[in-house]
Amino acid sequence: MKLARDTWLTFQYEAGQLVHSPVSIAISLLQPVTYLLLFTPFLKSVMGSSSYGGAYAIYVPSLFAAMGIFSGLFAGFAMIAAIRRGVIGRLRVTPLSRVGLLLGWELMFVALVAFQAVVIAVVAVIFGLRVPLINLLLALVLLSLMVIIGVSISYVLTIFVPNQTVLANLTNGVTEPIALLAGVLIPLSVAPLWVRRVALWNPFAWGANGMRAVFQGHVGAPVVWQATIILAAIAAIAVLVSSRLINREIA
Amino acid sequence: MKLARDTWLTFQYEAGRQFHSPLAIAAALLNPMTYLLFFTPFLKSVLHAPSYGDAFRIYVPLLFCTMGLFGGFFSGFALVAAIREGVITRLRVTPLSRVGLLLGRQLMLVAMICFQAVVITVAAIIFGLRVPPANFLLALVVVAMMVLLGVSISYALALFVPERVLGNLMNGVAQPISLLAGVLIPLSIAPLWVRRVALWNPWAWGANSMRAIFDDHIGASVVWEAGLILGGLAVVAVLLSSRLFNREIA
Repeated sequence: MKLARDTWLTFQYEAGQLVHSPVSIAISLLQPVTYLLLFTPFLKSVMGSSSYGGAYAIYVPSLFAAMGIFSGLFAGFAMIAAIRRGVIGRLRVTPLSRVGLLLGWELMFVALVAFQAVVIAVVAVIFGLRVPLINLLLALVLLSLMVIIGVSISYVLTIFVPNQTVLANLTNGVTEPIALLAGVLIPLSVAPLWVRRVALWNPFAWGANGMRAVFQGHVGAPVVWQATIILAAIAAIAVLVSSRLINREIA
Repeated sequence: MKLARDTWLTFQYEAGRQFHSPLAIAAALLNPMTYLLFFTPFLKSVLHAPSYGDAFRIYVPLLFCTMGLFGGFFSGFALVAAIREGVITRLRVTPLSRVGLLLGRQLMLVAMICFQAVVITVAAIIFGLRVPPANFLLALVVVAMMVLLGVSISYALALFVPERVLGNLMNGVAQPISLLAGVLIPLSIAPLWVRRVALWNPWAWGANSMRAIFDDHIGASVVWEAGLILGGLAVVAVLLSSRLFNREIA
């Protein structure tokens, strides 16, 4: 009960901070919207989609996956900034539970990415995407699990690699291959066999494939529930491990 | 003569600084190398390239274009950092010509990106790319012009735009330019409206001509057209940025 309350308090505080900087939210939308508008035409040609609606149904889930992967795995830099500004230090002297602090941050990232995803979906709908609301919500659930995994991994890395330059290169070096091998630009379904074999070990690839099936209207496809189980299990483990570490390191 | 010497001196100084941080050079190669190895397989499939050699022949010139574009556009930050560290101020009290200072820095960046392009090409050759050395050198000339154009624009922006806005501005400009130059999927198969817009994008000319060069069509009209367009724009951009630099910094 106390944990839920602490999580909610942290979430409220962080969300409040975000709401007060709408410009930075708008800026974070610049890149996905650019890709949505200017990469989809290329994809439409190579995938042989008959309409832009079909092309968006292929690309929007990929873009969701890219946003989830990058926002999640780069979350550690926000934590470094918070530690440096003394935010963490000030919260440590309160009776706030450490795990609540972590969960609050994770939820904040989930809410932020989900909000961005909704904006992207609205723009895509204007340009011809058709997706049932319930399917979009299901895709957002998968996306949230991806964000939670990414944020937890990023926090663990940040705790072990305090040097910011090394962390930036490490994060980049890990994130780019994960994203490309999840098929965030061109769907995995058309990739060579060895790429698809490797992708079986990439939870984010499961997320991307699951979301694509949902956008295509195949909610009952096995990849959807398989992806949900895989991502949920890994997210649970990642949150547990990262909260234990945070408890030990910054408590 | 003095200008050439000053340019050379600045180039040497900047190149020497780079040599002392091999890790930064390696880190800069991380991104293009990742795309080379993990994006080419996807491209091979959707473009139905018969072999990896063919896929690399399509993608390596596009990757060159990406490196030239982003390497050039994001160089303004190095200039801002150098101004803040006082490097520029210390050089101002020397008889070094201002234009030489600028040209030296720009040439160093050209050399850096050409070096990266060589490393990328060697990696691609290991995985099956075949390209005649003369064609490769010609492609490097195109890359150099793209970098000069980007650096000049970036330096001009860095002198006028507040630093806090600079990153977002560069991103907001460089991303659409790169996508509309077809740096991920070639322009040749893009919808008609995209190809029409790309006619106004000098980097798209660069990407198309580099693809022609890698396909061994050196005589194709796109090659000399792109050379004229990029060469003309690069000269204008370098002249304008050095005038600005002279006025703002000197």
